Amino acid sequence: MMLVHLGIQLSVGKSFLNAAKMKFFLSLVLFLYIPISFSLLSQPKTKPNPTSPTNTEPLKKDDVTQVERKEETKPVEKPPEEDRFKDIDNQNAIVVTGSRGERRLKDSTVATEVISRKRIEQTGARNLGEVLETQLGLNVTPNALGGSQVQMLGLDSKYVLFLVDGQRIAGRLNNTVDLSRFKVQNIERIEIVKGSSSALYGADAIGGVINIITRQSEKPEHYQFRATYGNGRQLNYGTQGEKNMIADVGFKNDFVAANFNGGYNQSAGYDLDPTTKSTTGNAFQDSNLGGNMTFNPDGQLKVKTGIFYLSRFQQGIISQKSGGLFDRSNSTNDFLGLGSIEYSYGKKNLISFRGNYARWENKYKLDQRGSDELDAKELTNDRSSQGTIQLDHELTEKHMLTMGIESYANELESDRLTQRFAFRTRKAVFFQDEWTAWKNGIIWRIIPGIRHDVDSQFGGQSTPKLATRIDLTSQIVVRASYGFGFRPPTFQELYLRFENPGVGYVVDGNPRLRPEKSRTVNADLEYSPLKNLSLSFSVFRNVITDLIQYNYGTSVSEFATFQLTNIKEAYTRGGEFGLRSRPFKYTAFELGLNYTETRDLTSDRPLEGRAMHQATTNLFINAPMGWELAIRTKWIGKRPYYSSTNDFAGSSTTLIESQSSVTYGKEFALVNLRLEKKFFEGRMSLFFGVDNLLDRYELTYNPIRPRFYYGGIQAQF
Amino acid sequence: MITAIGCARQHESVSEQTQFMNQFLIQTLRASDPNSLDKVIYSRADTEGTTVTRINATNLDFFIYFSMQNNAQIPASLASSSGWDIAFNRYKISSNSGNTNSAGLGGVCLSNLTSVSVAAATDRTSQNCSDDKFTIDGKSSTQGVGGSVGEFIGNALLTDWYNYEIGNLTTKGKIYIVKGGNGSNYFAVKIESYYSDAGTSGYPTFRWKKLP
Repeated sequence: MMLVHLGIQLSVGKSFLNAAKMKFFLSLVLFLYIPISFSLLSQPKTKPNPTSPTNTEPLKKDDVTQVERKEETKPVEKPPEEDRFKDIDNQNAIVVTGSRGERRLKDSTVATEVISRKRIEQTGARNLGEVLETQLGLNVTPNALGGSQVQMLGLDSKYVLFLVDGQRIAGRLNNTVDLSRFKVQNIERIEIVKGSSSALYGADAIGGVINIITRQSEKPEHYQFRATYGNGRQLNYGTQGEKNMIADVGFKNDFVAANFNGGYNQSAGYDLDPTTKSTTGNAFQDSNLGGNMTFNPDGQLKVKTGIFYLSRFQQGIISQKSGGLFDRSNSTNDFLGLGSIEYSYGKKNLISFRGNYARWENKYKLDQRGSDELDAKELTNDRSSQGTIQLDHELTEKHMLTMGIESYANELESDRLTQRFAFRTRKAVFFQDEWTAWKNGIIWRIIPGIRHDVDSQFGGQSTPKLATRIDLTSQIVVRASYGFGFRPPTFQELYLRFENPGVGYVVDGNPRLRPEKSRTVNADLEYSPLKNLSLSFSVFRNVITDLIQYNYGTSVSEFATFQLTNIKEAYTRGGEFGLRSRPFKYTAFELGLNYTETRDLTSDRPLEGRAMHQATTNLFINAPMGWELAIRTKWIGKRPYYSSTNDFAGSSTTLIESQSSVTYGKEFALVNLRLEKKFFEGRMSLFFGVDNLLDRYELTYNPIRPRFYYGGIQAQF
Repeated sequence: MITAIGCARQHESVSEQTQFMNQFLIQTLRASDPNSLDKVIYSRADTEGTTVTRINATNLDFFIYFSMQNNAQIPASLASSSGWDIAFNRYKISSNSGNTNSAGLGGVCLSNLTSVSVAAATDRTSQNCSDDKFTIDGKSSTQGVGGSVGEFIGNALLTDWYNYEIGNLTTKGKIYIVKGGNGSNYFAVKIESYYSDAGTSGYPTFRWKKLP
């Protein structure tokens, strides 16, 4: 990708003389391009090929005329010379999450946010949590047990479905998925669909879906190496610093496309309050290996395989109010294996068989200092497997059908479950029709979809979704959708038995819990008045019923028993405004504003830890000579907090906390900056960055990393 | 020579591992033995003639009995004697009276003073603890959050020594006058904390001084 990018820059320089002619030509191309692109809608399977080498060569005058001739017969992609930020936002890019099939982003009926590889690189992020932390409308917070978690549409991590290449993964600790498990070098792009999407993906897709698309090999050969070192103020970070090394190799020929990567990370953690013995961010060290192979990559019958493995050790020191000091460690093994067979026939029909096996094992150890009375060792072993058969069939030109069956099994072994082992299966059938209802000047598309899941514990759940999109003009697009979601209680919520030995209370699950259900309605408007300016506005409302919350339990214990129950409901609603512009040749600017209102109807107060206001700005400067600068800013408003314990992570404690006290986490601005200089036609680059430039954090309510400097070197061939 | 060396013992008669295991077993047995007299962590003289005592009352099932008169633990086998003054079961506290021991002559009164040494130097009646103000043990319920969650037999007045918040017990700092099991000794008592140095719960620490 980077190579191509540099190629573009060079070509701009060389063809400077032709600039005037080019401009004319480009406007012509664009003019033709817009109507033609609509006919492209009917060919979502044809991948644009932004990386093809011809695009990177400087266009000579002869070429221009050649292309011009072709223009009458065949649509042509935007010439890359015009767009220095193509890699950041490629509207021709493929997305898959909204419809379970490959569609172009700009045609997607379901609003999908894409974080491209280029964007990920420009954040300097090392894991998914760091990528998402500057994303508008998402809130990434440090997890009490280490790592980080995400909130989406004002909802907790347990309401967000995480997928890798469209496949479910295993491993939630306290109902949350730790984002720092996902290392960026595996990631080609991240797709985010907000709102209830159980119609396609089944359980857990209440707040939305985050789909991590892994990197596939597209070049005959590529090698990439990167080494990073970073550190911050010695008082907070100590002297050891953070080291990160990755390697990525891949090749592609007619028979197989393969990509392998590995990485090693080591960090000494951080401590926001050096006067106490407890630490804030875990020290960790992890290594990961991954690879995928696609056999017969350009043929009709493709076979895809992939495996990802991560081994991680985290440790930290925690202190209890009672004076207890504990050394805590988590040793985690995370494995995911994917496989699929795809057969395409006709123009865009596809039949696919997919399967995955995921295993997540966590060994938790608590070692009390000065005593062994409260020492604890706990094992969590989460295994899941899934199989899907899916048929994408074009019935007529106006109807694209997607249907399939899916089977899922999940087993959890945990020391915190009353019966230690729990098992469940789910079988599902899903159906969707992408219907182009009107295509005459105005284009109107409707997608009705429905899915029925049969859970071995909770019986049947039907979740429909209706999405529609109207292209009023080429500049104005309106989308709306209404979808259902459900989330069956996790095994922990059902069977948890946790006795806090130190402080005399018991937390119980509840085997009589019912699934939580949700409905999301959202609408958005996209307006692109100028080539270099686009505006978007969206609104959403999400209601969750049968909300699972803590209440007082009935069994006897020393002081109190807390038990989960289905109570009432909560809603989240809000709006988002976005602006994307390219004010100057070398700069791209983005602005986002988010308003989210949440309310827990049991206590009639906002949900804990949610910011009502958020704003993001991104500024990218891709200057000549291979200089790239990215400044990402996120401002988060004040957030209400009601409790100071995190023993109850994962569910609301509205009913058991005193109602009176509200503390607000301070508003803060997170500014991340990254500067990169490329050498040797982009094969080498040096980079330097600062995270949390303004050094804003709060020990209790915002324990994020303080200011952190890093720098490194990258080579790719 | 070689034979002589060979004849000498090559290993200790009881391996370190076995010793450790034995010790562990003894500790485990003692922990569940209400008569084992190792539950006083410390009981030492402190400022102004007061004594500070910490009891290991972590066992969920039985009380640990303590005689302030003798400054010593009393085995549970003597629970129905008048030889003890105060008993602890985690955060619950008994006096030697009422339903706890019908033969005991103890009881508890809440003083209106705020210091153990001052209370011990003050006449009982002038701190609102005349003979008719003493509460004897009975059946009562714990003061956990969310209503009563369990019943126990003990001294309700004395067991109200703490403030509860999720995850922590702190003392209200009240001064109690505890009447000893023989009915003739009076002690000013203040519960100071509930945790061991390592932060384990079930280690009530109390400051006390005998009234003249």
